[in-house]
Amino acid sequence: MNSSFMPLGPFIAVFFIASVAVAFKVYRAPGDAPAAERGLLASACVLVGLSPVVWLLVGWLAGETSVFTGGIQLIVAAALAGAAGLGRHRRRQVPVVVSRWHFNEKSAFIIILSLLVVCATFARRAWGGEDAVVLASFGRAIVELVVFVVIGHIIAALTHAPIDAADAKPDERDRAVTLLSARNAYYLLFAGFVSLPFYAVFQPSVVGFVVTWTGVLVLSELVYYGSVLTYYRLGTE
Amino acid sequence: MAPRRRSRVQNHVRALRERHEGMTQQHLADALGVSRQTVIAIEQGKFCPSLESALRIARLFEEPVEDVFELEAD
Repeated sequence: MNSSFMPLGPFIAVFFIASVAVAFKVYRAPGDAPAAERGLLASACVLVGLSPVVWLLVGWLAGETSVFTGGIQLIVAAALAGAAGLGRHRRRQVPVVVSRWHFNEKSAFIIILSLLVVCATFARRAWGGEDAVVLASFGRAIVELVVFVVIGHIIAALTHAPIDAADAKPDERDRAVTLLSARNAYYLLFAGFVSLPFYAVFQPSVVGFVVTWTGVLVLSELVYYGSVLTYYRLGTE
Repeated sequence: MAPRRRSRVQNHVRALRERHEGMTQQHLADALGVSRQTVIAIEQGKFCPSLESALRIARLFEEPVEDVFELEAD
């Protein structure tokens, strides 16, 4: 531990508390800005306050700092503030800019794309490999899928207009699309489930069995999100 | 086999909305408690609204519901 960073501690603590107070004030500020826009700005304030805290802690524990120690928080804070500014700009434009795609369509598109890319890379890595290689690739594929989906959704939410429509409550059409899509995916999932004993007979290893069963889950998810996209584009009638 | 139809329920929501000057899709969406995309889907015949929404639309335009929605003739 490096104590040379510690004299800055009280100043950084005061700065962090002030940032949180500003964030609270920004979020509670009266006006016509939607909650999502105020939330983005408030989060940016908290991250700006957090940046020197991270720098101090890493410097204290590791003895040295880099651009990642606090810099990442500043970059994300700038992105969030930029998104809030973009939302405000779009809101004030006449006529008001509204995204052509429903946020659920964007979400479904991101998930389908992520699933296809991750499954293709997993198959390339693991095809014909030993169980240990397949298992390692499987774990890596899950992490990659989570990262792709999360980053994709953050970008989609930040670029959606109006920005607060991204977390709007589902209406009757959304509920109808969800129900119909779940019905379509259910058929495949059920078929996969009842076929489990056959997989068990033909799969020589537990890892192969798990991968095959996960493949059925992935296919049913593809059917679900493909249905969501289709129903939003072509209608439920 | 006969080809599948898009929807047997036709509506005049768009025409009625345009007749009410100044009423935008967003105004109608806010009045119904749905998204603007849902209003677009209703106007394009891609989505058939619930009975409750259909009655709300009719009340909003001060028209009988059968003048807003009609069953397509066989």
